[in-house]
Amino acid sequence: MKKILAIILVLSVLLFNVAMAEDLLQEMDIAFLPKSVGGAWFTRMYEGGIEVYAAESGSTSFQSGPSAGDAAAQNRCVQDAVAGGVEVIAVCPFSPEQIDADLGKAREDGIIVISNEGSTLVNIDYDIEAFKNADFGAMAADKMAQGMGEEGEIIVFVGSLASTAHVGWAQAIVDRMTEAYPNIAVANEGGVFIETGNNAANSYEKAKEALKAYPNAKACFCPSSTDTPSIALAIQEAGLTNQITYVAVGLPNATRTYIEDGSIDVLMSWDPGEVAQAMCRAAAAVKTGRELKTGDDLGVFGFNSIIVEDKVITGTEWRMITAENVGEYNY
Amino acid sequence: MKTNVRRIALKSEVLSLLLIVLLCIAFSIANPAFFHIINILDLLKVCSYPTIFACGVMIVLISGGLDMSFMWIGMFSAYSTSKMLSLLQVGQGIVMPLPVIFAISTCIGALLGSFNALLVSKFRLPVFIATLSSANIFMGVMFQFIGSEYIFPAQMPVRMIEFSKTLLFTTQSADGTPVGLHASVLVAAGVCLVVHFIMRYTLVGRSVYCIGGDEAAAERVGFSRTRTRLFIFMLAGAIAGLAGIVGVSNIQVANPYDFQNRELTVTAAVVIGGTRITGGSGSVIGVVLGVILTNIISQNLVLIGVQPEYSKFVFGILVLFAATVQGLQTKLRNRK
Repeated sequence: MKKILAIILVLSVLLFNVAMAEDLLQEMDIAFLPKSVGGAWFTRMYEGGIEVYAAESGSTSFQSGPSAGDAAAQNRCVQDAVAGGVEVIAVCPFSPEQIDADLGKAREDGIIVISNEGSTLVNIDYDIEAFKNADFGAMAADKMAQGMGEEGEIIVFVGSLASTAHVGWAQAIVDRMTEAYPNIAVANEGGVFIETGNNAANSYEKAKEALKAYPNAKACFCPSSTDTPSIALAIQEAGLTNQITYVAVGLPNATRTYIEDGSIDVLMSWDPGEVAQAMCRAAAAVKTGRELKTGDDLGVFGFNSIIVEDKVITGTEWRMITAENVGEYNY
Repeated sequence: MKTNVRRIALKSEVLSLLLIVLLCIAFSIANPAFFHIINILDLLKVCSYPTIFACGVMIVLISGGLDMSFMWIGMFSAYSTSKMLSLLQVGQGIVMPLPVIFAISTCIGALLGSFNALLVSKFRLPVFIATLSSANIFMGVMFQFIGSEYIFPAQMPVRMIEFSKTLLFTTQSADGTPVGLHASVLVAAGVCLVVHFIMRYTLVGRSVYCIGGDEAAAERVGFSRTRTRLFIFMLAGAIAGLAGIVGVSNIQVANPYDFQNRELTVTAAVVIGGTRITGGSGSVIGVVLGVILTNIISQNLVLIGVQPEYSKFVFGILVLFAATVQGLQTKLRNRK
């Protein structure tokens, strides 16, 4: 009798788990609203994430966004999506403060709102973060410190000073350096981060300028996937490939040549497609009325054991790509 | 004698040069690294493709119109060329020589320019409105039918990557890095020479000034408005196509959004360089100085210690200053 009970118990748990995983595949009408359309990052989020989820679940989806980071234009995209009557808005806000009110109107209309890199937003169901900004920044700081022999000056770039994630990582690097590496300092006075604008031509010019302004710099960090390759080019052209430890965020396909030749020492990366899938799965959980808890498995890499705090869901893994392992990744 | 000095001093080119010298002195006091040879070579490289763009903008401005489409013509031409050749290279292993690559992009630019000419001549639209709408059309067509994804260094046509690494008159810096004049500077210089020659010494070049000065008078003298307009926009388009491919080559990545919002910086440089915004007057030398002037400002703010959050503000103020000085000088000259 006990045995049978145990078997029933095991079976029911198994069935429940399968049911849970299927719960997270719901047929929905999803609007993906990135900061800007067309860049490698958001294209991957859409094609390798939202569309993959749509195919698995039978959902429909579209993406819409400004062609360059523009808060007002993104707000119009939210308004259009609301007017179009979608079920889910998956949004990567350019400026969280400026988009929040429009997202509030979307939620009043019963639309499920899931954001990414928007943990300060109020009017959302969930915000999905790939990881804790502090952990990510600390890891970047450790890699930089390791490469520069734990002393010297660093240059910290950010794509946009308005980006919570970019500034969060940059600040976490500074905090970690202050705490653990007393001989490392930020090169520019006052420790202000240099804004590169999420634009290849602009970041190339800014990086060239910064490398000249701070000739003693021994490490750089760039959080913007658009700007990472052109900063690598600036480092390469200045002949600083060996002198500077360049730790950056980006996609392996976009930066492969620079990783292989050592201009980029460590590429910190996660597959944006997986984040976008996690956004859809969180939306599905909201749709079915299921509450997500710390330790839940969303069924995608990075989100196999999530941390849930209030509305913020955080993944726990990312990839560290160097010249040795860049060949293993293709996204 | 006195009037001669006065005349020379009031030439806008001389004034630009003076402003440049003034800025250089101020900047090198702020940071002696400013005058380092590497900084100067970098400045020339960064100025190269905006200078090419500026030549095209100048031609249209002289004819009496503000071109809003040149950056998109440049990007459209450069992006579609890069994409096409990247596909050929990856798929068929065909490697095109650099002159062919530049020629393709230049031709696409000329073609797009003729569309502008059509709007302006046949539909009688003001240049500003015509090019503003064509810019959006070009952008839309590119994103819809050609693509919007980046082309990464690994997929870029190899000759373009080689071009980005081509330095002339190279020496080695202290740590063994090759230092030299970037090849794109030579392309820019070539374009400047050709445009200077066309505008100054050919009949069709003079007709551009003529039509910008007084359209009716130009027609009465015997210049065909339609043909001159076609020439103006095709030449400006071709120049933009070449500028685009040079710019894309320089940064080794074709990002279709990259030139966005740069129209006004280039246009400002052209106007600061003494091209009259109402048409009829302007010179290549002035334009080159204008581009150098604005780039000295925008490329050295970090170097002289301007905090990043103030850089746009400081850039705006300095450009305003330069433009005001130029404006005052024009006023003085006209009063005389």
